[in-house]
Amino acid sequence: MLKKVLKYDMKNIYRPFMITYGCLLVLSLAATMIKQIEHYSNAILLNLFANLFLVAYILANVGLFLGCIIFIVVDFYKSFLTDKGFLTFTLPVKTSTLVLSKVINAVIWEFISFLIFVIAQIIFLGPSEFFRIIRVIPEMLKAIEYFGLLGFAIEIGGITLLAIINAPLVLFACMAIGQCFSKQKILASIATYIVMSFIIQFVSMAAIFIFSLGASSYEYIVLNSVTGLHAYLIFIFLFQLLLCIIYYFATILSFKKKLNL
Amino acid sequence: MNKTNATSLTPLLVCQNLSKQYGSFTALFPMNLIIPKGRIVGLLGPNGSGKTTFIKLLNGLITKSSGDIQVDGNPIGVESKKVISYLPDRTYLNMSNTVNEILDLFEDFYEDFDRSRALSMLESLQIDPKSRLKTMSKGTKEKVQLILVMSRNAKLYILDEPIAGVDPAARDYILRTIIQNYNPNATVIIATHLISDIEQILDDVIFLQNGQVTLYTSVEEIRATHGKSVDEYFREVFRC
Amino acid sequence: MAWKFDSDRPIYTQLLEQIKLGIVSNQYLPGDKLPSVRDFAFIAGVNPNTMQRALSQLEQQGIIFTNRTEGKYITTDTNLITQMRESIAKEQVHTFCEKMRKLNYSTSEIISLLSDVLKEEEV
Repeated sequence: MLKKVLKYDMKNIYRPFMITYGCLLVLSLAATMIKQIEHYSNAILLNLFANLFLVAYILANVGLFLGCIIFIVVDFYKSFLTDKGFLTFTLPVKTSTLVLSKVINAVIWEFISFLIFVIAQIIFLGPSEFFRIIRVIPEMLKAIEYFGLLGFAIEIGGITLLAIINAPLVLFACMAIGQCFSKQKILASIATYIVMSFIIQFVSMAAIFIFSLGASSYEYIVLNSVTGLHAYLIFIFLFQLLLCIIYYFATILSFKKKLNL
Repeated sequence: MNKTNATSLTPLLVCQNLSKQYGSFTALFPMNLIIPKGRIVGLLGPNGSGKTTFIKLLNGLITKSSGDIQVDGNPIGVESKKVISYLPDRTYLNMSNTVNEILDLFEDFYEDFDRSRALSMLESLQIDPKSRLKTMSKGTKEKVQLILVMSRNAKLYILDEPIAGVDPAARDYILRTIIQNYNPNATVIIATHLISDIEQILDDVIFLQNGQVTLYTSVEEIRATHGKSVDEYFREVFRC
Repeated sequence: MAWKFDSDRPIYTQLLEQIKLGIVSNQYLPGDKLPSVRDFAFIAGVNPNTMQRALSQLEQQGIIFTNRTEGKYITTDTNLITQMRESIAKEQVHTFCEKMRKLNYSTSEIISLLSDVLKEEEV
């Protein structure tokens, strides 16, 4: 079932992504050619044009990331909270499967979008320039090994992965909770998001204090700063994991118990 | 006054004390209903009488406030959705899809979907399966949705205003399709305002008024007892 | 096209009348095979259960019979059909006479009016 649902979820969303990817890659091709202008010409107007174009290119990259989230959120909204929801919720599929599919779909497109971003940079910077930058990575890995930073790397890796999952998931949860209120659904969604953000901020701040990473004037727990950093990162990881679970079940329960099409 | 029509036929739909409130507003008062298999039932009532609420409850689109629903022995959930074929009163399909893509979807998710039946119905209505939904007129879209619903071998068909936005010829086609699809193991619930058009094909009717079932009897009973068609009797009962 | 029905009487009784009429007017011949209940309901544009009820009633009256493997057939009993014809005709006459009496026609006036009209129709 999950595979089937995922197949259709991906089918329904791939078009805007493809268009965005196409535009970005074309622009990166154009940008890589235009940036040569600076080397070969001193004409002010031409250089101005080149610079503006490069700005446009940077905006296009931003557009990719924004577009990614927007497409995913809009697709969620359309599938569950509009007339199309009449189809979605009458399919003989468990609510948890429907939501899980949307999450997996979102993560997949986030990864693909990142890949396209990397390819665009390769095109823009030119392969030689890009690989010069890339060569830093094995050096970095050696340094990590040498300085015993593997733990940190894993922790940060885990947090990043959860961040990728939680980014769309928090929005899903807010939309699901918002629709429970029969009036002002959109306002309720936004309010939920604000409340969530506030809680997250608060907890993160508290964590920093507790693990003594902030001003040294806080002397409740005295920890060696490296251990403190580890503890902080692990805490953040577990906190994100908890949030992930909360968002997931909040979304499912909202749809199961208080669906209001 | 909640009558149940408990005949010797096997029950398909059983509602016990089913109710729905939105805050202080009661959309559906506790109702008890048993609808047997093999019946074509009309769900009649003015706007706001609770028809849509009842239908949404059966389909799991809203959650009940109290009571129990059993469809062919299953509560509302994945199992009940497998055997219910629902036609909503709005366009609920993905407009950018072609008809073929929608057929694929139904085939993928519903084991009881009969693609060949759908294709022959589409052919007799001269609808090209390769065309996209967004290029179709409203009437054609509705016909496509109806064909999809009637091409399933479901146990409970729920049709919400199936003939409201359609021309008389198509109306005829739709009513005949319902008859032709008739199966003594399945039940059809049709919610509609257009009573006189469908009266002939109904077995029973349910009158809903202000969230309550005020009548559940057969068409023939109404005609024999009151010497009126259901349409006329309905107008009398629901006169403002 | 679907059969026409009055809105103030049960459909099943009207189905009985229309089928009997069909038999008597030779639309269905003695021994003819009838469509299946579902197909017949489709042709008439009525609910299959209603059609089933009408057909059961006709079977009880001996007007149709069921051959278990092959379906339903019109009776070959021509006497029964003649009887049916007569009773339907009688009913029509009763209705006619009632209407004429409401117009204050006496029996002899009815008879002479009847023969006048019949003579006109022959021309």
